[in-house]
Amino acid sequence: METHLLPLSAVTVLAAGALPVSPGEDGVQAAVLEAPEFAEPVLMLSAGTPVSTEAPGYASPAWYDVDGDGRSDLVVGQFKDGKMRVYHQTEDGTLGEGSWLMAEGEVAEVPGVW
Amino acid sequence: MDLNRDGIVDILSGSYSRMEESMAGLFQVLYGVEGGGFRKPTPVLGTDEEPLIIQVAGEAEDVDVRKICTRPTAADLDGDGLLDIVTGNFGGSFAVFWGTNEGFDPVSVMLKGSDGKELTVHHHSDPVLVDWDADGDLDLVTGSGFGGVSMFPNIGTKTEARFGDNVVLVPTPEAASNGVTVFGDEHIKAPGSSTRVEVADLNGDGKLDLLLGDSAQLSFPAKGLTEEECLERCAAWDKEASAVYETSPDIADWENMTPEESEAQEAFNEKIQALYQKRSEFIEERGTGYVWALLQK
Repeated sequence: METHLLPLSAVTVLAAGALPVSPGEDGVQAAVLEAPEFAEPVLMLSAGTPVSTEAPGYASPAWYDVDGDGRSDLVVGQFKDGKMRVYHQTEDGTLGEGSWLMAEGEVAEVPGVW
Repeated sequence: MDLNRDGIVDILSGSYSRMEESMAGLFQVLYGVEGGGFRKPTPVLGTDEEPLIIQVAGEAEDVDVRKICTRPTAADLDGDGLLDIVTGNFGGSFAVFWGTNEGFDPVSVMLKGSDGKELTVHHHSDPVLVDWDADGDLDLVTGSGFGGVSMFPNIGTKTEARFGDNVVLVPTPEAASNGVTVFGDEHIKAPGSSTRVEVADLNGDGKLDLLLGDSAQLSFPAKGLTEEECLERCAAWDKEASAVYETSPDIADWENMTPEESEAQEAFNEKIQALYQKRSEFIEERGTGYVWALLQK
């Protein structure tokens, strides 16, 4: 497939300090947007192993309490077969082993990927 | 998100392509059921009872790049109490299907910046709507095909969103290897390309953090080969590949190839297939996707 690239619109890269932002029309826009600083990226682990997808990849995460236990769980969509893997958060805050999201008793597969 | 307003959370997904009629990707919903679990995916329909497809009024219908690789999120962008669907696409722009009391308007509208131009990132936009700057309205956070994370702050209102300039939350990564084969996964220290974003307070400190999905390519020497031996064969293969690609037939019109051109192209395709079969005999290459947590300080 041909890769199409569109021009990037005006980009502002946040460095240390703050980014001035014009007040919004509703008057509640923060006057200054603090520059976000992030800690070094950390791989999400499941039972001690990095969470990863089947080939060809393309992990798409969601953070939601799937099992209703009051703790958010990790749901990861992937390209292959349009499947989603659920990693339940345990009491100690770690993620357990993953299992495929089920729908009506079968592994859920979103059509339109392969 | 609760797409059908039954009080039970549903899962909303995009898709690459429906692979028929056109390359358009559909939107699929897995409705949550009472007591837990989900129904099988079903396309999200518009008020015309047809599957929602990105389509801008007055725009040619064959602009596939704006319709495939959909990645939706549902949120009330216009403050009317109804969910709207904002989606990314392969082209890197953002379309919105407005929610009405009768369902979703089937005609999508492209989101634009304050300069009147469409919001875009490098191909494959991946929108999440969240009040990133805590000013009471929804901002647009997105990944992209090249990686990194951008945020378009909402500089309008809760009922009339207007988006300001692209603020880079996570820079686009530099090319990982510059053509040099690196084996294993030890060298992977940060998110790669094709970032998919989730925003949440992961550690409960009151600040929004990022969960990033990505795409990564892994290489391993084939069984029985050392890394050095594998690299030697890679170098030899590169030379052979260059020679093969130089024999690529010159096709004037891909839509209307002559019989001679078709024959030449078929022969070339066979050579390419043999080339990559040969490569797979000394190196294992596969893609995967990781999930990274970036905690905001």
